[in-house]
Amino acid sequence: VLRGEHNFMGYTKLNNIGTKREDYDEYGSGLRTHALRFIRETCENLRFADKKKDENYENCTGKSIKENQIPYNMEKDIDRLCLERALERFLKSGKKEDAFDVYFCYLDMFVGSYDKTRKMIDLLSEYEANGSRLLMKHRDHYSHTVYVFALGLAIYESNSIYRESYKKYYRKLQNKDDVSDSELACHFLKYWGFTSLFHDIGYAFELPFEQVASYFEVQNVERKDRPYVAYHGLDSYVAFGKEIQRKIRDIYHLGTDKIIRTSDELFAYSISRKLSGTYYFSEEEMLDYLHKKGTEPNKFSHYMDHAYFSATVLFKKMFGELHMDLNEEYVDALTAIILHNSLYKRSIAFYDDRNTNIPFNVDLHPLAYMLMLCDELQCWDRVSYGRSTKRELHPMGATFDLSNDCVKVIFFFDKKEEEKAKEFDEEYKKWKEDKRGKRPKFKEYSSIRIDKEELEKIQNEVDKISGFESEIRDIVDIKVRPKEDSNCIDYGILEAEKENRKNETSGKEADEENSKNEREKIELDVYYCWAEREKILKKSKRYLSESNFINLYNFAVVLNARWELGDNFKESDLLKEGKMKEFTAMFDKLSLEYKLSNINQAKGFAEYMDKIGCFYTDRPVEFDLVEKFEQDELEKIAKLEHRRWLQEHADMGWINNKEDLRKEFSEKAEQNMKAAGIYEAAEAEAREKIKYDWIKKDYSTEKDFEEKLKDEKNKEKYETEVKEKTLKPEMIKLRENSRIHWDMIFSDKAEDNNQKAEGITQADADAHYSSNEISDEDKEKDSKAMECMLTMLRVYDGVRIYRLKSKETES
Amino acid sequence: MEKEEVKKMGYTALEKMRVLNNERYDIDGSIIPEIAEKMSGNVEEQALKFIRTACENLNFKKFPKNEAYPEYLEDLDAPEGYSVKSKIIPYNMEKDVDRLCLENAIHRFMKSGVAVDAFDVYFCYLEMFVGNYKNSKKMIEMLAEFEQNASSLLMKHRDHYSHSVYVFLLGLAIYQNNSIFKDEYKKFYGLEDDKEAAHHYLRYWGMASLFHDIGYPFELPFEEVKSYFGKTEKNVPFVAYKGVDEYVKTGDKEKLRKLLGDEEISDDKLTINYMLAKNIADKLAGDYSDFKLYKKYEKENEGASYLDYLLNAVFGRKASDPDNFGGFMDHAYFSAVVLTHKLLEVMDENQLNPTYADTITAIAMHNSMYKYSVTNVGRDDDGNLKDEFNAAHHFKLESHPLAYMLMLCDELQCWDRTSYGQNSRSEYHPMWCDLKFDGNSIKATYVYDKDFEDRVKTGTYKKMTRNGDEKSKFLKDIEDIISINENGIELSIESEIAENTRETNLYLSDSNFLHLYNFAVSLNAMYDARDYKTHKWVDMSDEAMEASFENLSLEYKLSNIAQAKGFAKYLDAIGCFYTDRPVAYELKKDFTVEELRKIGLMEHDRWDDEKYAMGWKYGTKFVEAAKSLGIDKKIIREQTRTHNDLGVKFNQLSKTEQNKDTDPMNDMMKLIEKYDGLRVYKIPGRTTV
Repeated sequence: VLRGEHNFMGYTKLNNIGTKREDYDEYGSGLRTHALRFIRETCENLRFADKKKDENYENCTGKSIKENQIPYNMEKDIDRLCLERALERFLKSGKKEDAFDVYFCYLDMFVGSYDKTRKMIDLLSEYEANGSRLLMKHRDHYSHTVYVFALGLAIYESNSIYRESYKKYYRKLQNKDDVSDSELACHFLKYWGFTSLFHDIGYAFELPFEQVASYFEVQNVERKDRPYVAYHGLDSYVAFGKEIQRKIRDIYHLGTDKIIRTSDELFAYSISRKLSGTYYFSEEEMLDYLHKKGTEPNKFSHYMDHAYFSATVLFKKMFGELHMDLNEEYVDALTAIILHNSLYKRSIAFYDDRNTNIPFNVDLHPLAYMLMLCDELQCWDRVSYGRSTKRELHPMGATFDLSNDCVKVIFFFDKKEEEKAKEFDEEYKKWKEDKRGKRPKFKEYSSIRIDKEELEKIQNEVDKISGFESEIRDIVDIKVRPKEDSNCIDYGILEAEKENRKNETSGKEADEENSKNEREKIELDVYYCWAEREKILKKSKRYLSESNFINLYNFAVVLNARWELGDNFKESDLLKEGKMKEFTAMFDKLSLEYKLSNINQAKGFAEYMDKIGCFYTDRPVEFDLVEKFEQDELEKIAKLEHRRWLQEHADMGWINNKEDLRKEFSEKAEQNMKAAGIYEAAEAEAREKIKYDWIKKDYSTEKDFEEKLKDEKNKEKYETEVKEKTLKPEMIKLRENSRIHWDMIFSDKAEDNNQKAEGITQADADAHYSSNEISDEDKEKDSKAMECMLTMLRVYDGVRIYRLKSKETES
Repeated sequence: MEKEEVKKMGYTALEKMRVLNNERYDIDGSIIPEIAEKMSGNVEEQALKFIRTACENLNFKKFPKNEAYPEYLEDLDAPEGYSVKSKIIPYNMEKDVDRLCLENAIHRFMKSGVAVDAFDVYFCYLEMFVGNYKNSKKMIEMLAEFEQNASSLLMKHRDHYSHSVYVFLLGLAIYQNNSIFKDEYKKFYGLEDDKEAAHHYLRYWGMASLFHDIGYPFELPFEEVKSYFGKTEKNVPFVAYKGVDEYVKTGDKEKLRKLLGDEEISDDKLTINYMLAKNIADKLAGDYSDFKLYKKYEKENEGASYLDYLLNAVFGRKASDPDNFGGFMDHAYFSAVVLTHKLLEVMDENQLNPTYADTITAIAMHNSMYKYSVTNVGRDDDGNLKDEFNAAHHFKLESHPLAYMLMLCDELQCWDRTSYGQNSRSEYHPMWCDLKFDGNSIKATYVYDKDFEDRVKTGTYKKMTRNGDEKSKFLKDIEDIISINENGIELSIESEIAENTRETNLYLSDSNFLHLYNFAVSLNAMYDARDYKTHKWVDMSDEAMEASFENLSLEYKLSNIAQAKGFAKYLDAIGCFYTDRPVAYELKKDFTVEELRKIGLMEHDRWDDEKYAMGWKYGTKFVEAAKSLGIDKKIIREQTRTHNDLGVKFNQLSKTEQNKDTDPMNDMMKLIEKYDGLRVYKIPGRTTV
């Protein structure tokens, strides 16, 4: 049916002009280009089911707005497009609300249930935003994690050394030489996603420890001299039932002489298999470390290792509760997580001792290598929460050049903070004169910048690098490009280079050219630059309204229920126990695309409030309380929501390329239904339903209804409604299969549709909203949903909406 | 008694100075302000009455009678009291001003109920009774900080910072009206004189009430992890504490011994836990030694005393073994331990005595320790007692009056508590309460916000709902804990639903407390070191700033704090706010001349109000008087409490004086960024001036 005629690589089941994207980065070889291209092109056919490849229109098993509405593989392509778009949005904004979408997509695609795992990751964000303000040092780990995920994808896509190592490792593991590159890319997406996105969820256990430590440290008392948090109850938590024990036996082909009974034992076994030869330790030693991680932080310099809890909690959740199918790759992902923080550095490699340290080689454990590398590199655009961290100087942004098997990064520092850096430089200069006392530090600036004078004194060429690079080189086996001069780049020069590069070959061709340069090791090259904040952070707005992140999902679930139930939805249901379960079941039947659409509608609320001069908070502030929205406010909100909807659909490749589309779809739907012999029954049902609605609306009787139909106009109206109702499900099915939507802005030109993907203006949306193309029913959907948000915020978050401009302040 | 008499009676030194100033300089200054009008209700009225009348001559030093000066005032050529500088007013005059500060701080808090105003009450108490806010500020600021931040992660949690101040005031109001309690308190501590007893009570009850919840930062991490898993997951990890045994052993042993009344005990046995166990065992062993948990302990440890039980099975395990205490971490234990440490640190040996130990044990017992380790409080779903032992063992007033009062007030104070927990936010809790006293009966009426009437089946409202003639669960719970409605003290509970008319004065700007004190110190330093003609000021070290602040009386310290607090209000008035969130609104770097003028006007008004509330009068005679005596005019100004700028309109002030109101606000802009990482933004859509 009605498919687009263009055929792009990547989404083989969509073939739609709207999904087209050219280069993503201004540099053509950067993080965004590679990460998104990896999802789009390298992971082609991700999660496809071969047998269902040729599902046809009449008989399909894929979900869209309903179950069994589109071909199965088409749904999988849309899912992947959702992930691509979510990552694209996040890399543009860096906002945690956009990071949320990436998590959501990954969980929906690879775990299958966001609802059951949401607490684990939502709580990470909540704990950080709230609890970590109490700490001395702490920065965001929620958006960080998604950046780490993206960076890993980009490096896999661009770096042949890493890619080859990964492919070799997992071909060997699967004992198959013929696994295709494409399959391994999909494999990487799945397991790297698992590794990167969940590597910090254990912070929820490190934070309470640090809160108590900070309680004393704020009072200038050392943590080791005061009470500290230690965990109890871990023994039973890490213990496996027989089912998992047997599963592990099968994975590792173990005999009865080796029964693995706990996650500690599993991790110790897996880690020692991979690393004990290189680093010389026994499985028993490793097990002892793991046993003590949560219970005896005093044995680890009075630090609690979140990585241990990330892996432990993740195992329990995914394999103990959700019964996901455990395999060796998942165990690899978990050990990559458990290693990434202090366990590898301080209990395996003892990396502080340069004489004995062995940097971690990629071939030992490619996932762990990637996690350690990306975790160290990702230091930009992280919200500072800790008391001391707030006063430090961290990069606000970064730009990457990933060509030539090299990770070249330029970190951007805020030009407004340059004075602070100069003050530090002065302090450092003074210290250098006699080197008395501790070397001054001004994290992260002092580790990234290279002191020119000191550089000249370094004898060994390979050591002419920054502290930041040196730290990474101590952890992972990587070659760092030595510097000849300061590593500070002038922003003006960078801009000029950017202009020049625009005219050069960019994109995949350039990378393919570059990849011909054979190298032995992955290379790293780090620079920094002072830049205007506005030029680097082109973030979308953050608003006054800030609510509890935990309830975003609930809002989306209710918004969907509201939409589906129409007039049958009652706000009082929100207070009823059990209703939420019912609503969640309805939500679960949606495809990922529609779930995300509801989530984004809920997220839009803060912006809409801002635009009508309102905000919400749980603090009892002295502003006028909004009991209900005025009509003009509702209309404004509806138009804003309409723009969001149009943009979301344009981004997902929806178009409207036929004049009088409704009519065409209506005719086609009638033909289909008649051909299938279901028209008459559907029509009869619609007749009864509309009759019932009319009677109910007027509080009248069946006799009154019959009387009413004697009037020609009423009769005509009735017949129109019956026809619409009869055809609606089939029309929607046609729409979902073709991804051509009658409510989109019309254009039959491919260029126009691509432009829409660039950005629909509010003026476009307003004009479209006010035209006759949108039915009153659809308009009402936009505004009613927002009224419902008022109630939900009150019920779930205890927040209230206030007007910024009260009459009093206006006068 | 006539109002005028009450006024004079309350502040004797101030009144004596007023008479003296008339005689010496012909200046009729320093009026004693009325007890605040427009009071929030009976709790406030009775608490203020207690402070003004019952606590007359609080913290006074006795000076020998002198012909030139009335009783209680020292030689005015060499005064010992602090005001805007050290040693420029009589010592007892300063103490009267301090007490007036506390009175005003209470009135401000009761008007708004917000945490920043609760801060002032803590500040006054610490300055008046502990000696220095700086030394203990972390302890209470951390409580507010922890709650604001960490507790939104929990399922159930409500504010404990303002709560503690309400508890403090409830205790004062009850003492003021309830003769059974007052008499028992006097008897317990051997106090004969009413005034002496009131001073004693204010000091020790203040400490017990204001600090009873400071241990929450240790309960919160435990609850955070518990909430992480929720109720449904079993066999999950939980927080326990290590290093507590060592912690309770540290501290000055001689000082600790003072808390036990110089008991002879070896240093190795003398720990904070021992002090707690000994103090409680001395009071409760007689009544509670039949309790089953003690009996069990005694059986397992032959010859073990009740003290041994409390020391080893209760306090020795509270922090390290929460599983043994119903799966709860008891903040009260940590409040007691942390407070003891703090007292040992900041107080001299001669200041410490066993009554402080009583305040600490009142705190240690107020939560689960008494309820589940001394007796067994609780009822099943049908309302039947879980343990009959409890029926005969309600906590008696005469056992430990401070503990009794703390348990009572802690239970009663459930209104106007910010809800932080995820569930607490949507429950129905009272927004207000007032007490009526009739003889020895207390009638508490709780008021609920009409806007949230749909929540009547939840929260405290549900607990207060009565089934026919039956007592509410709320009242029964109190009766199960302490002896009430059976010992002459009568308590009844009512609830009603009404419109919320209270003003909070909360603005968009929202910061934490950690730096309010620092702001005040910096503002004072800048005030001292600035040339108001050039707007420039000399940079000072942190130590010099602290020292300068230390030389101020409580009144002036509070004035700097109030100036810092006013910043949020002024920003709002010019259409701005501050936040540490990176919002994408227009960043404000400097104030315009018009904005500064508006801010200056408001700041001057605030200063006027503050001065009037503290009894200052307009006057210029002090300038001439000082001139004729050849002394600093500030001395006479502070002694007469008259000021030439008071009531003068902002635009009639000299440019230099205007700058005094506006310059600090530009400083604040920098200070909030320096200390809190806050930045000022324009409120979208709001006209600025």
